[in-house]
Amino acid sequence: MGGSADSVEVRQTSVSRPPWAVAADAFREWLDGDRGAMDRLVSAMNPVLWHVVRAYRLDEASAKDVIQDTWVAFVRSYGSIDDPQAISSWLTVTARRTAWRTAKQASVQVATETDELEQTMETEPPAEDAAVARLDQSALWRGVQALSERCQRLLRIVAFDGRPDYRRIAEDLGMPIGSIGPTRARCLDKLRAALALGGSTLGGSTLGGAS
Amino acid sequence: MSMDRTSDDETFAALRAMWRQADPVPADLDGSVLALIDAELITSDVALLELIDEHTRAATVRGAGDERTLRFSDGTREVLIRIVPGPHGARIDGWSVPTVDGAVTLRCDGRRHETSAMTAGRFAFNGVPDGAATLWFEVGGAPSAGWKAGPFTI
Repeated sequence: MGGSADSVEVRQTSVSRPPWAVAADAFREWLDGDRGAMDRLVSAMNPVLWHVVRAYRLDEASAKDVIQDTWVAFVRSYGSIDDPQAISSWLTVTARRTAWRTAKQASVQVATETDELEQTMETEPPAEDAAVARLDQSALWRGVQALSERCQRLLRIVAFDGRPDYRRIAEDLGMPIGSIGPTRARCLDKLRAALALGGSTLGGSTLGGAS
Repeated sequence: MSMDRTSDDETFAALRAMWRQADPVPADLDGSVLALIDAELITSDVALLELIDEHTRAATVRGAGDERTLRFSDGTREVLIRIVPGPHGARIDGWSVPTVDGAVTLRCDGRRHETSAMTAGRFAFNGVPDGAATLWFEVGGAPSAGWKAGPFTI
């Protein structure tokens, strides 16, 4: 029951902290008996899980199912998670594995309606993030769409998984572990090249690779 | 060909913002997950034992901390522990009724101490640091099926 003032402070400062750090604290507090900490754990991790799972091109209903299955697995196994600090990785890996299996079984090819998403990109106001405010988002969207499916998936997983486990990602994507880093760099290069071709900028500098 | 780290970070920040905007998390996801977790916890096989009694006995040796005895129960299962402070952390001796034969784990301030239950449901931990703690008892070899006692402070 004690320490509520501390908890409030943690919540206020958690906005700018990475999800894995917020999740680690929330999980530890929950294990220590703070029932409200589960809300913080779920709200810190669901956005990460959502984007990691959707990287496998699952439709919305399947993605929700995968995330719910992940949390059920968590409730059934949390006692065996050795290090509360690793809760984010545990959830992300479990969700990714389940998403991978689901996608493989269903052979889902088209999950997002590209036209619909492009419309959203063009009509919604840009996000407040400083880097994004200067970015032509629809150009970025088109640049991403031009990448291979593997590149899109890898970049989305790495973007949202604050502590990506390259060994497991390599297993799931059927790639040698040593190739994940170079593949990531190649995917970024291709994206930057596509954006530079359209004259788009990011963070105030032209995205044209080394040229 | 390689880009500096700041540039990568900016690109990933932009990608995150793009995907958040293009494919937002469904508004009802957190609520449905929390409801599911509540339902799973209620039907899970983890028995929650609450602190129902605590006694403190003044130290008999000068300079030593007070000895505390805590009793946890859920009405059918009971755990009794004695916490004796020491210069290198506390010693905890415990008993469970009925007897638990699996691993007993003490989680204290994010650290995990594990021991095997000794005969007749007895268990012990040495050198436990101060902090908020919970005890976990494994039953039948399944981490998801067992008892949890606490939280309590050391």
